[in-house]
Amino acid sequence: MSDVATKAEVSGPGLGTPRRGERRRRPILRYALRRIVIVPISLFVLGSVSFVLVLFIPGDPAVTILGDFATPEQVALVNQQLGLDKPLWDRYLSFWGNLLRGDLGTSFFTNEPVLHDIARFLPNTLELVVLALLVAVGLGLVIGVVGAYFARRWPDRVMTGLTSALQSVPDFFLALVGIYLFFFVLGWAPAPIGRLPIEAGAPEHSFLIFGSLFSGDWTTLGSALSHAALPVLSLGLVYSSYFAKTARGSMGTALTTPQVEFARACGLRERTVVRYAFLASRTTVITYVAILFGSLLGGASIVERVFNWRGMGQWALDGVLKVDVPIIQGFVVVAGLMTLTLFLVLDLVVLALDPRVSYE
Amino acid sequence: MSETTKVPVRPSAAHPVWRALRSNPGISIGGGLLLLMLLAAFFAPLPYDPVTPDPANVLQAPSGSHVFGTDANGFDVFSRVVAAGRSDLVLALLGTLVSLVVGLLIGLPLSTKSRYSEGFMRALDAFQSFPLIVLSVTIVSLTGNAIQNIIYAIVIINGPRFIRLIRGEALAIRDGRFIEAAVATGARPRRIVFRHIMPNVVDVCLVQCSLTAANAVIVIAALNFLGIGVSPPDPTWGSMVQVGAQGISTGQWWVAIWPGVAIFLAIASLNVLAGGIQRRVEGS
Amino acid sequence: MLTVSGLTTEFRTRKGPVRAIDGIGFEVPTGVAVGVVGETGSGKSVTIRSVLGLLPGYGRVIGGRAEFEGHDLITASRKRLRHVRGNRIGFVAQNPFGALNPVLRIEKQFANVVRAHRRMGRAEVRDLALRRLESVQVPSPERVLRGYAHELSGGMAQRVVIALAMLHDPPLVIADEPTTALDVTVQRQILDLIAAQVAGGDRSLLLVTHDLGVVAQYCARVVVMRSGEVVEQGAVADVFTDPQHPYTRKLLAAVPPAPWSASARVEVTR
Repeated sequence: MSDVATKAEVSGPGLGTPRRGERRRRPILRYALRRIVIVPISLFVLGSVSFVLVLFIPGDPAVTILGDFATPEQVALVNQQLGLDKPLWDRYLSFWGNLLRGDLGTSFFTNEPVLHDIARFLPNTLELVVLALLVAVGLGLVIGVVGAYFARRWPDRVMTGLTSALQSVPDFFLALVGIYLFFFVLGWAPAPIGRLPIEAGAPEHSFLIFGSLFSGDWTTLGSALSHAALPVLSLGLVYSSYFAKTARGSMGTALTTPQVEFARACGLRERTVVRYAFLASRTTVITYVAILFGSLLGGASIVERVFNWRGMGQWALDGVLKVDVPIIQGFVVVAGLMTLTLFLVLDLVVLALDPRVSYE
Repeated sequence: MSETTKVPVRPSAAHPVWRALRSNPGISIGGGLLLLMLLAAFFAPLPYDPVTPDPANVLQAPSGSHVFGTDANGFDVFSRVVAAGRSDLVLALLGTLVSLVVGLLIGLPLSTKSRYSEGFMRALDAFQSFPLIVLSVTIVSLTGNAIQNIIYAIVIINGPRFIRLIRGEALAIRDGRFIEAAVATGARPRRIVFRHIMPNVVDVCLVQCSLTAANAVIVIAALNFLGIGVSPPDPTWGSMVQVGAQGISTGQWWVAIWPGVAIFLAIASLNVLAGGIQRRVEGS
Repeated sequence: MLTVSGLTTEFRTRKGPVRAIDGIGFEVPTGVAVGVVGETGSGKSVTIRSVLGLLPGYGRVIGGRAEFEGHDLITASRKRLRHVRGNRIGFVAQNPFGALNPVLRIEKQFANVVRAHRRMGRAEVRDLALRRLESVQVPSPERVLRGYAHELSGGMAQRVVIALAMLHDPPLVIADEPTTALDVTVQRQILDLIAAQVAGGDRSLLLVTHDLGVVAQYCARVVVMRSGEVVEQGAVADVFTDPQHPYTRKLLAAVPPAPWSASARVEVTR
């Protein structure tokens, strides 16, 4: 986690050596190109890791998967599906062949194509993760900025305490406390049984909240939001501590720079001063969004399970617990792919935001 | 006269222990609480046997005879919450220790600026961008339901951070700037390394160790919550929360909340401890 | 113009409060350039930050006054203080690359300082900025306004900072070691520029420096600080020819007596 900060610092002020009249576009393009070239390399590592996962299964994988009472025919079938009867190198090549054709295989247990499952469950997870990240970023920034602004005074202590408290709660435990308080005691929240009430039937949109928002289906939207409130809040609150810590650190640094002092000495409004300090530290926060998105894709899985959210995390978790290898591989590939893409996009956004950055 | 201006205005004449506590409450409070939980887990006299259920007293609310109540199997929640520290805390600390060793074994040889080690660090970046918790759940469940696999999971998640940290510190020492300066002032290099550099490096590693242990407590609880690495009827906080989760919608809060509070206290004390050591690293 | 008396500032540290300055008193008369000298850590910088209300959160003025235009800046409301800063007191920072915002165009930074104190249209802001840049001898000011700080040389960037400080024609300018971050070759140009900006008329200058030669050349009065206290002050000619405090004598003796340096002129006046 700390490497994020250093990365942002390195790309930060290079004020020691002023460069006069240098054209800025060339180095940016070169950096962007180099950044994009990394993508295939990362993809290669990603795919290989998900392939190697199978090798971790001790003993005969088919027996591990099917249990000790499997018939030899079943074992042979699974071995054939896994391609375990072929040499390692062959398996590796055909794994890549399938992957590049977009074929992620078929689940051992449900016989559903993995890609089909992902298309069904990914939207649920994406809505949860995006909303939780919004809460986490918003709340975390408020906590961090207030702490940084009142550095070393009592609001800073309160915010630091709040941050370490939020950091110390497992999200699934916070979810249970939320269910007890807001469902059982107060009755404000609906039962933790999914994304909609049981009688609502199958949802029309794969993106329930965003879909009903854009099609103006207010009843569905309201119901979906009330079901989403607890899972989103339990993830958002816990993950806001990361943003609070980052924002406290980077804003704390930004607010003690000579730049801020000079702005104040020029009589700029505090509002303006804080805004510019925030702009100076935003790259760190943006980088963090990418990191937390990646960890939330899988990290939300237990909360998804508690609320029966039917997301990709819950699906992958079930797959993992049943040693459903294609599901595990599919999840690792898709989640990794999305994280890598987001990293790339946000890196380029950071690049576009900061005129100084030259990325040596 | 001008000398007095740099002297603290209020010199404290308190007892040294009290002064140490005041000067760094993080270390004393965090470390103290952690120690207390460990000692209680192993030596505290428990009102009931944590692994013997009492089928006659199922789902009793907290009362005088069962201060934290009983769960659906008739276990005394208080005894189990205290005793669960035996596996949870010990596993967390063990996982941290192994992560540290892995960090040393990989980080130290990599503390060069060669292309090879830079390349390895990039690969590590790529590795860390995966959802590591899922990766570790995967590996633990693929390799079977054994307790030592939980340690692998902790190492997978936290090893990269140690590698990065130890490589960075070792690079700084190898750079030799400290040693150059020390030689210039006439000190023997060995003395400087052991007197000045090592304590700082150790402190930096200790900060990472407590953060890792805090993270490990969460990972262990999450895995146990999913039923991974649990051997019933041995108590773990995660599996207790899992047992309690079934009753939370119907109002039996105590089964899940008390182990959750224990998890919270363990993580919080480790975080506070890390903050305290961090402050010592930065100096006052 | 500015009268500081009994100024005392404390910093909270983990080992209890520490006094950074203790009972500082001096005066900046109208139309006079006053130099504050002292070694690093003597409290020069803390003094001006206490006056301007720019102390970090763990620093606090616990006593004393700083009278400016009929108000005590120490007890002034935040609104009053903001009105004074940049508008009635111009501030020239030590390092222009630290002071200028790296992600804003220079024109935007002028607009910010202008609009902090008065309403003004875009064209007017531009006009004013161009005039100020010309008066600090910035070649092709239009191009500078369009660009960013990192495209400027050190000397040019410091000129931009001076132009920002002079934007509202303030009666008092405070310069905090304005040349220590610059190349030796441009230090003199910048000091000449600041001197030219305040010369003639009623404008006062408070110049913080550790260079006695600079004080001798550019200031009429000098305040010598050490360990958070004023050890000696008075007219430059008096203090430099007949230093009363042993510390001042030590400082004077430490100036390298090279014939081409400013301190040589001290010798001449002596």
